[in-house]
Amino acid sequence: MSGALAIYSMLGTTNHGGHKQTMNPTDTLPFLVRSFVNDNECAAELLSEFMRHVAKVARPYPAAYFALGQKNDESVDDLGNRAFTSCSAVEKGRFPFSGRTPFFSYTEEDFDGRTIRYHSFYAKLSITREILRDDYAFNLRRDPVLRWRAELYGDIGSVLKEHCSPMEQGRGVPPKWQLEGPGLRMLQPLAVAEAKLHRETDRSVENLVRKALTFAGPLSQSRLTNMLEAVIGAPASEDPDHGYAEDHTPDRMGIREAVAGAWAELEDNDKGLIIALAKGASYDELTAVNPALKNKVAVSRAVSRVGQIFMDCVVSAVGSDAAPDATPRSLMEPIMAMLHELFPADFS
Amino acid sequence: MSADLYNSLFDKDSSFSGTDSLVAAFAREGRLRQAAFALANDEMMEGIWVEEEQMADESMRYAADDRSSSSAVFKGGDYVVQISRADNEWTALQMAGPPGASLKLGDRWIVLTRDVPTIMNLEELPATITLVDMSGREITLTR
Repeated sequence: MSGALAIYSMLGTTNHGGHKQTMNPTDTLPFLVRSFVNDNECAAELLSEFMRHVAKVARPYPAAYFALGQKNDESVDDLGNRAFTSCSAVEKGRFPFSGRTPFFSYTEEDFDGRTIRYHSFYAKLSITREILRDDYAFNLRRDPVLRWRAELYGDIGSVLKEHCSPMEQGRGVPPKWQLEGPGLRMLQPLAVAEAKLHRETDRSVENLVRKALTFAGPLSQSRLTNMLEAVIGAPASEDPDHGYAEDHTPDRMGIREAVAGAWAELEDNDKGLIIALAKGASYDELTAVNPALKNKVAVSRAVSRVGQIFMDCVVSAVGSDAAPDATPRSLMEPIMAMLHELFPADFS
Repeated sequence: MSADLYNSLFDKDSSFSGTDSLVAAFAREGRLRQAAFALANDEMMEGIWVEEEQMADESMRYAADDRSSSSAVFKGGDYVVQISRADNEWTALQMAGPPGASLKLGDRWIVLTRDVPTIMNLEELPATITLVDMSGREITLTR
């Protein structure tokens, strides 16, 4: 019985009835999230924690990743507020959220502080970094110089798909690309490869991509974009694109009605064409979803109908609020935005 | 070829007239959107601006991990103990084994009574627990 006596003699103040679970006193984040979700309390403290971690995550990013392409206290605060809103109000499909808002899933799964911080701030594609990515994507298509970069990326992609083969890297990391064909190659460090590219007389994207992969070995598409941008040089300023019609034009209801009304007039093939064009889909991707568009007559007819029934009507609605010298391209942003808003399942 | 007509809509060097030019402008904007998002996503997934904090293995959750985070059964020797959480309260329930056993958590002891839940202080389910039987022998129970 000596063992039992030893046990009973060591009984302390634990194991009393009505014990509440204690938290790690140095990590209050789970408690703050739980109080906010269950009792709508501690919102200010939780937001303060968010601001602190978001500021830390945002520190290394360049200005292009922030709203309006400006990195300052206001834009970092805005990022923190949006990350907080996303965690509290936006249901996410991906793991570990599974259709729940992040805060709700943190509470339901009883995540510890480190896990909450990982998914909210520090993971490679955390809630915070997701917003940074989306802001960067927006700036890439709106800022004239950044737009050139996005177009270069697209042009490089066309060359890669035609002449190269991908090497999957797994775990969500984009593939590297390699030249097809046998033979050993002496690979150079990136800086040496880039210096050699500078000496190339043929500055076409296709030649520079081929040479870059020859010199440096397999590279990702974004790495190639960085390299070619350094070699070709981004334009100081793009051709003026005057009167870029903002997607918050005064008469959004007018545009909404015009888009919805014109859309209803279209046939299935017409809608399929618009959806494919909006996504920048390849011809194979278009015909995989719309087999009827596999012949020239059908494509030609769809292009004409989309132009006459949809574009003409909608552009008139948008163009009435745009600057007089607005180009057709500058009118497309509010149309795209409205299509995404009206038909998110088709245009996401 | 229908592919040539479709692809020409995206080509900056192609010229169109009338409403076809609006369709071409729309196509180029769509291709730009796709490229912009793909570039932003690629740079993000390559972690250019990040030093990702590694998750601790014990708190990493995998999609295929069906284990509950609020209840588990621990077994070792003749003993079976269930630890579960309800209403923010953890309890230990001895389901099998001789009476007189206790759980040892650090410097704390939780005396077990066969088939009677005992409240205990816990932050999260451990991988193993230590049970001390009547004779003072320590037995490791695992999930």
